[in-house]
Amino acid sequence: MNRFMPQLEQLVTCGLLTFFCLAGATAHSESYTSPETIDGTHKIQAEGLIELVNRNENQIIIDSRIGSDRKLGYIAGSTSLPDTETSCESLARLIPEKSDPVIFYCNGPSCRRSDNAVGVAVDCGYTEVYWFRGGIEAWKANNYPIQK
Amino acid sequence: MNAHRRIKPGISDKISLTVIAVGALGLILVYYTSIYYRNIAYEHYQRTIQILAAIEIEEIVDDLKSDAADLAQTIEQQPGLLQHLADKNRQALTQLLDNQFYQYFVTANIIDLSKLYVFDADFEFIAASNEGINTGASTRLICPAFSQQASLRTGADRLQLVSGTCDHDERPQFVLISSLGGLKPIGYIQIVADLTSSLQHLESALGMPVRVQLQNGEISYQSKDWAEIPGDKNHLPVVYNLGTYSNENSVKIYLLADMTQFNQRVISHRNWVMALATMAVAATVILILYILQSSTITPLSRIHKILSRLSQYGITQEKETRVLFSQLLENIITLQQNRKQRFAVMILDLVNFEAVNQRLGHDAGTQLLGHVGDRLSATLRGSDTVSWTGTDTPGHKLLPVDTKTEYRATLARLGGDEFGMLLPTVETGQQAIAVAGRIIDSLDSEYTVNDQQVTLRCRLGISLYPDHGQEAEELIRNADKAMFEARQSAGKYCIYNAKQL
Repeated sequence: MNRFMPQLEQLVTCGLLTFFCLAGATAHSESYTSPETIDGTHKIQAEGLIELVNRNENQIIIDSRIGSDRKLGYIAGSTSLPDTETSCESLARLIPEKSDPVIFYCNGPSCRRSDNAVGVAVDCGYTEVYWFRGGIEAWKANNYPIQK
Repeated sequence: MNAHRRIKPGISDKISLTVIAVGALGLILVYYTSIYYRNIAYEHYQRTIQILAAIEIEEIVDDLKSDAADLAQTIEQQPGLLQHLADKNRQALTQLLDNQFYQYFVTANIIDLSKLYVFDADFEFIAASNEGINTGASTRLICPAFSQQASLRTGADRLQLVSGTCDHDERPQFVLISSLGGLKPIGYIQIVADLTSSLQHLESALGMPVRVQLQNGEISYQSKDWAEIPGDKNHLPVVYNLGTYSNENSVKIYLLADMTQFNQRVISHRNWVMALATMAVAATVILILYILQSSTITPLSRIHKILSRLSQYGITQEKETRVLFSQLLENIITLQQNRKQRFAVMILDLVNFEAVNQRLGHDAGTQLLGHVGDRLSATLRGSDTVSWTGTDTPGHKLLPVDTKTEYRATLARLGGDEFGMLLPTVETGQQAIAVAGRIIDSLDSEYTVNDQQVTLRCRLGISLYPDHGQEAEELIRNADKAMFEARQSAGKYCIYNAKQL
């Protein structure tokens, strides 16, 4: 009996480790949800986005996702600027004035990229930051066309 | 006598037949229940397949939608399209649509296109592809309801994709309308694709033969291994009605579910149940026969033997009859143990028989005993208290049919001047006294033996089962004691009373 104990112990340890690793990974990937509101930004829906595009001649829409996500489809007229590359400098290249309205979106409420990007934009002093929290998920759900 | 014997089944035959009949009924029930449940299962199966078909069709339409949306986007991105749209250049647009039609359908066969249309922002028709279904005038739209509804939208809703199915010339079509020009649409494209050719994907999706029939009876698709045989229980036909926006019964989709395995399972289960039921019936028959044999038939047949032997011996051979009488009692007690039936035992003593025997001689004595026997038999036969051996009692029915029971048999000579009587239906002391009275009355009148008048004095002792004894010998002994008591008290009969004696 004793002969098998160390092996058993190893097995149990290994199993537990695997379990915690998996559980941790799952918890990490599924637990994130964007806050309902972010200070200094206006939260908008898909209809709000279309309304802004129709109202403002040169409405800027920033897609904060990475390239591989964008390839699966994006909102027409949006510019790609992943959150990792979002800074006061990169924003300044796209947005002429700090008071220009700018819309940020990513995959949806479980994707934190647009959260990060609007945070940077607010910190950089942009006053008209619109946050499309629902992102491409809400866009598709509402039957709006996507571009590839 | 034998010529009149009728052949009738005995009780054991009747019970066995009953059990077998019930068993056969059970088997028939199992058989038909299995058919009934299989039909119910088939109904559920049909509904399940219909639901599956609906899900698969939804997926097929979703795929069509996705392919059509891709095509819309490709067309939108064609160089010059937006300019031609702004210019309402019908010729250029038609050429562009034909080009895409050809590439998507004829070359790549991604989508079975029927027609392509382009509208301006107010849903005024601009151009249509020449390729596709010939609709006569190019302005005659396929499924116009969609563009009409789409034109009524306002604001952001005008950007939304519109899709659905409808019938055109009795063929179901898939329609998708998408905006052109990004988030500020300057026109719309309507893509129309044939739905029926996509429906053949059901064959691989559901893994069963498919047959697609249009409302006009045309079979637009039929699987190679389609083989519908009427009455074939191994192939379950399922019909799914596919409706479109304009026609509720646009397409009939026939599916054939392979039920071979299911049927094999049902039949093997049914056969097992039937085999078990048969074994259960056989076991029940054997058990019932065994119980009958040990509890009723055996004691009854013994009683029958004893009775017939008693009748053979008559009343003159006392030695044998005493033993038989005791055995008879024992067997009847065995038989009665489970019933609550009571009976009486009587011992009759001819007080002055010995004297008569000595006075008139042995032959006369024997003759006299014959008379006594006859009178007793006549009395007992005339009395309903001995009807236990008659034909209307349950006990007798259990005996073989040719059993002929003589009432005399319940009368046995136990000693020189002593007779034993078994009265099976005498249950109370009062009844016993009544019978005793009749017996004494019948024996009291004079006998004529060898031209001489003889009078016999007799005494009766009575014991009742189970009050006065649980065993044969005890009952005889106690009846004997009662008889002795009667003799002592100069009465003619006496019922055994433990306290007195």
